[in-house]
Amino acid sequence: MYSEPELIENLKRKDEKAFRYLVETHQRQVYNTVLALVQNAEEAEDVAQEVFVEVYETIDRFRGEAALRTWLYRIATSNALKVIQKRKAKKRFAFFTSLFGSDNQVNYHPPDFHHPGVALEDREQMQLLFGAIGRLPDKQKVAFTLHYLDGLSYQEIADVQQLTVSAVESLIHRARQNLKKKLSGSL
Amino acid sequence: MKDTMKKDEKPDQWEALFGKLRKVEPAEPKPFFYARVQARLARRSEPQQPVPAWWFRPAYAVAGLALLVLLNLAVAVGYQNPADSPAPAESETYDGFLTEYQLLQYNWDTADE
Repeated sequence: MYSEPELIENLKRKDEKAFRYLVETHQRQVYNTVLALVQNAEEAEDVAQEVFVEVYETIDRFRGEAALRTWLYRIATSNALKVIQKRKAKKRFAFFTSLFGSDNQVNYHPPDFHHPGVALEDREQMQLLFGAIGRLPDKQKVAFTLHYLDGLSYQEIADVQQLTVSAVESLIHRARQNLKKKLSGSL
Repeated sequence: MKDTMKKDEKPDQWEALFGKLRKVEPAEPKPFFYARVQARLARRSEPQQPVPAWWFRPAYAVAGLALLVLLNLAVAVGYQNPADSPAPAESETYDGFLTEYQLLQYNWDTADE
């Protein structure tokens, strides 16, 4: 058990025990945040691993202005968004190549996401909700997910996204409006 | 009265739906997560094949640059005078092609006779 300054100090010294403690304490949090955003278990696992590698390699640059947990959320969300951007580019490329292909079909379709923690009776409804969350603009998606799935307060989300609290309030309000629009026909 | 009730009900329904996200059980990463992070770190810290030092010697850089300039000059001089370029091969002209493949030339003027 480490106090936060102690943990950071040991991480800066590349102490293996401290790093193991960090990974084992936060792996679930990081994995779940990433999973909700990328909506794919394999990609989430890959991004979560990369988050801890990045922490290990860049801990010297951590100045302690935010809490370690906030910093982890920041790295996790930005890495997850990068994966989503890459996926979008891949999808655009697949569409472009399909224009010249023989089958004339878009080749890349990410499968529908079923979160493993959803109760069986809510499965269909939650699948639609996750699908709609996945189509939100990036900032709204992150704010909404951190608030509803991770249970972060507006202040904590503001620290993660490096925004003001009122900007976060506005993002979540717009995310709700967008979700209502997207789902009103299907629910 | 009924309308106001409906208006009041709607936001609660949405909030109830979004609230269900709070009840989603956290997923677990696959076992031995830490071991996989360590393996990734180990792969990262493996020394990369270094570029040989002689690559960076100025003599090689200058020689490479000189070769590039020489090739450019040769191409520029070679294409400056098109008269010097060899005449097209016989098969590049229509008549030459017919002769080369021993094809009879169709005479449109006498075709109907």
